[in-house]
Amino acid sequence: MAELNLHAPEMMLTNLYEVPGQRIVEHFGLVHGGTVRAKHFGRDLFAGLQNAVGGELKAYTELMEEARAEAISRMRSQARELGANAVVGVYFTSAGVTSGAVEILAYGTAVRVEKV
Amino acid sequence: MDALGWVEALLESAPLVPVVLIVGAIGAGGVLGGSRLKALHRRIRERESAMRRPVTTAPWVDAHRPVAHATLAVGTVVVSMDAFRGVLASLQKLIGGEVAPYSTLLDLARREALLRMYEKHPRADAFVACRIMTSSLEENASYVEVLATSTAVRYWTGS
Repeated sequence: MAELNLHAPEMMLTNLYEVPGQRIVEHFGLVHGGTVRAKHFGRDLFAGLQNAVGGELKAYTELMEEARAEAISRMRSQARELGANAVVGVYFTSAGVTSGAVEILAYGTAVRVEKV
Repeated sequence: MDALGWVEALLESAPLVPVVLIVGAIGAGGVLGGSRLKALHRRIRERESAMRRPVTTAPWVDAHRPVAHATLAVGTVVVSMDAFRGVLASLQKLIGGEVAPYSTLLDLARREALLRMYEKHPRADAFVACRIMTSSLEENASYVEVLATSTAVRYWTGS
């Protein structure tokens, strides 16, 4: 499974509007990354059975985590292309796009920060 | 003869008509949809490179600069998948993993919604508190709405 690393040294992500202890020196505007994903048919079936029993749908939790990691990495590479070293004010949204597929979107503001 | 009777008569004389229509729609989607997407992508890139004003998810760009005017800015677009890519997407959904036709379509829709938001406020200096939402308009619909909102800000430049 893709690793959801929010603390990669080369690109800081935060949902604050600043990076604590650092100063924003340049502004690159909005960056976003999204992905639409579907679960494997077999596991979808299993999740359907589990749905009847109740409790956590592990297959779907995993699906969302993978998709979110992918969305973040796309947003991050967009920010890197602009020359940013941090993305502040990060938000996530998700929506069911068609039956059996879900969209995950990550977006934020790409900036360059420096130690004060 | 009413409309339904006319359809029934047509189906009796030529039972392959619906098949031809569906295959035709898929073919047309494959041919037209691709070029339409490419043209849309090109237009979006051009407009994006023309846009030079700061945009942020934060509630300010420069907290110390006095603001003369602030107003809600909204941009929205409803997109749907062409028949050809729709078939590709439903095959992908059986396998699982990323549904690339939808990812690409929604990426374009998002950028279009943002651009519409910017273009509705040509005199704004900056767009702050920007949010993006995607919503399906009805259950299992093949079309979705992408909505971008923000606050368009004009800075005070008087003496």
